[in-house]
Amino acid sequence: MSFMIQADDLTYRYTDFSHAAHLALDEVNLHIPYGQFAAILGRNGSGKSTFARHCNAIALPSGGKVWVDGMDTMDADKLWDIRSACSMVFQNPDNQIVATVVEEDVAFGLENMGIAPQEIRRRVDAALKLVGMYEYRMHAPHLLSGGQKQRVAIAGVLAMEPKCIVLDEPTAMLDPQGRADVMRVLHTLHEEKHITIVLITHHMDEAVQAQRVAVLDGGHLVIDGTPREVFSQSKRLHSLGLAAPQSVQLLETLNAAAHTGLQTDALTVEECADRLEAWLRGGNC
Amino acid sequence: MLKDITLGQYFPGNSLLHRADPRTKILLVMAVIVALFVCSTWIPFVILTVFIVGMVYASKLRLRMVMRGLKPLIFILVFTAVLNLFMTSGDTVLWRAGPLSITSAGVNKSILIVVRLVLLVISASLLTYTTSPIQLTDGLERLLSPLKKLHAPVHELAMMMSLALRFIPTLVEETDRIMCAQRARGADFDNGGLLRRAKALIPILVPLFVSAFRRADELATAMECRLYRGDTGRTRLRQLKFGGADAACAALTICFLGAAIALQLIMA
Amino acid sequence: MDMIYGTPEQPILEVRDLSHVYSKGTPFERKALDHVNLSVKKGELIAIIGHTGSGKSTLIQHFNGLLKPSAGQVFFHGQDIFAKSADLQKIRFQIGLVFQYPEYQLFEETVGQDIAYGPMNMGLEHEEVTRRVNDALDAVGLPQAISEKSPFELSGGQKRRVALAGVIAMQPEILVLDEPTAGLDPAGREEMFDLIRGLHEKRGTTILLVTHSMEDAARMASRLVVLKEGSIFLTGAPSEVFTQAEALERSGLSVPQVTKIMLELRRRGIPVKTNCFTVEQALDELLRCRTGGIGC
Repeated sequence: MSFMIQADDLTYRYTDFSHAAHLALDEVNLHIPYGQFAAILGRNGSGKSTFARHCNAIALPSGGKVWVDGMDTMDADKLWDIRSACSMVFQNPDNQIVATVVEEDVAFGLENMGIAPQEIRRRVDAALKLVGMYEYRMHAPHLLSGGQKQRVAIAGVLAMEPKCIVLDEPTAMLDPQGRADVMRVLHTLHEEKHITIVLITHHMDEAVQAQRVAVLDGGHLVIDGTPREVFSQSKRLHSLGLAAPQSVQLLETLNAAAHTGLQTDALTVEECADRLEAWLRGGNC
Repeated sequence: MLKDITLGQYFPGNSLLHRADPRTKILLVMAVIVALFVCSTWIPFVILTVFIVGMVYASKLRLRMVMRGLKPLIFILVFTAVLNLFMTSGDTVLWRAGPLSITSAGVNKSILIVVRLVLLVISASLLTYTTSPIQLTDGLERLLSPLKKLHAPVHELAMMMSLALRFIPTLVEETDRIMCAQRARGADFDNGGLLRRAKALIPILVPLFVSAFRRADELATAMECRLYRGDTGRTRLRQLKFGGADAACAALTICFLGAAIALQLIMA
Repeated sequence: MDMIYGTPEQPILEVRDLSHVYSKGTPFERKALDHVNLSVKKGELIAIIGHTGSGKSTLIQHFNGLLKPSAGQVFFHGQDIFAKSADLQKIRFQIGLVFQYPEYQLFEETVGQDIAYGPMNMGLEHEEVTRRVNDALDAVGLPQAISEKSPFELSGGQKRRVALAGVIAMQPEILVLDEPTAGLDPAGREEMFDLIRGLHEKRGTTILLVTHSMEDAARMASRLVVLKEGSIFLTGAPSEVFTQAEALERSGLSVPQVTKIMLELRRRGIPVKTNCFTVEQALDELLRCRTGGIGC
């Protein structure tokens, strides 16, 4: 099998306070190949977090199948291997840090795996250096900023050397600086360590940086494509409670106002500036 | 105010005491406590005091910082001192007023008891100040590990303890935040009778409990994701190994405690 | 600085030379605010911007006396709120403070009772409390029927509205909101901003919005106060503050993407104004530039 995560007709049912049944996920088919940086978008309650929880068998499908690194998540004997292959980082960094010293926390997963102490030391140091928190290895986690805590949490799963890391809204509670730091770390993991990244987010500027964007709404997979394909559909995104980047919006309104016919799928500042520059200069020369 | 709690706080460092194995330190503190209760005359106490102050010096912590741990105990100290001062009967009466009297034996005893308590708290603080909570629980777990054969949940208890230590600052911060938020809605925690004050705590306690349970739930999931399955097949980053620091600490302790106890026995 | 906005009218809230030092006299001593001056007029909507550690949360906790200044004063309607004669409890009902993630402070059995907590503490009559609860639900756009539900069975967004209603029900003259959109999805953010705009426009509540997003601040507020390391770094109308877009970016504040696009065009030698912070403003500026010619 050539997919890191393969969800086939994934359905997840749950009952709420009033015992009414709901479908958090409804026959979702989503295949994430090895080494991909995928972002999953969707408004609150769209099922994106539920999807994330299926990626390492915290949640098990009510219908359909999820294969993680070729293993069926329903196979209880494979639980350990599934969770070794695919790690998870959660929204609130406070609630996933178990130790009172940064390096001890990073070591936690490795200790559970029964790795030899010298090897733990090597991996802990390497992971902390990679996320840029090595100087803080002896600090108490509760004195770190949100972004720093989240990087410690990432180091904690990174040290376990998984093939895939799923992050459930890791930047939702961070300030712009913390968000930028976390995103930089994710790119490093993806590019240097070739780790598959599944990023659940509702920040469009983060999704833009992914190789692929999947949008969930009401438990259905509604859009799936490259950021360029997805973010050029600004009306569709708006109806899904999401927003296209301002660069796309600007080019679209410009086209509407001045019939310029510019290509609107500019995702970065530079791309957008290129097109605007050409248009502005073109008018004069 | 809540942030001032220092008991159980760890100050990182690289002193002799910091380097010693937690098991050594736990055992030695227990020995010191025994010695403190065995000794009841002046000279052994002077030896013990010199030893403990020396240990504070060896920990490279400031004496003032160590003494801060005594602050919450001032009331108990004064109370015990006063109680012993007046309640000890003896031959030489120094002062008398009605049923109250102070004897020289009373003065002697109350000073000794205060010194004993102060030294006790300082040595216990030294243990927690120089040993990270993780090392401390590790040490306890290892010391108690023979009990595992009797199916005592030693590892589980140690894990619970270290998680509790990890979340105390988080929950303290959260309590502060909730208190501020309810104060902003006109909550008054400082006035009124006992019942009213107890009732005023509900708006703090309910959100705090809800949040603690939510955190516990998320933490449990996060721990499972990081392959936690209890004690089975678990290794540790930090191996506990006895080394030079342990030998030095143990030798020092044995010398001083031995001298103190020997003198005590001879003099008694 | 105050003179620019000074009017004969007395400011509703005024901060004079406010400094705050945490853990004074210990090794953990930290200066969080350093001689901050701020004057707020009735009916203004001001955004206070700064990243974590800039002192913005410390500042707002002085507005209703939750924190006491190390130096300086806070005046509400000209009265020093830390004066011995001032009744802080009463002032807290007048200056409603909504903390970050306010949904975590809900505690009552029903939504209605929770919203009534503030008004009950004010000692209002039962009828008046009920009226205010209904009015507050209305203000945050929740149906009256929700009043009987447990706050713990609501969705995250609804919980936040209930928490906000709990402060609105005290009918404060000033509403201070700390990161009201933290953790919300784009649609939830829009709804929250619409709600705040409604409170400002329909009810005339003076609003202080704390945020770390320049974009949200610029869209919502008529005046921005940018804090940096405990001092006011920039202040003025959004179009004024955004003339310093490069300085803002350098100081680690994220400026809107359109502003970055305009800065990039400027860098490439196109004489566009860079104080645009919405798509519409950028559009106007681009059209103006194109018609006016850019001179190749």
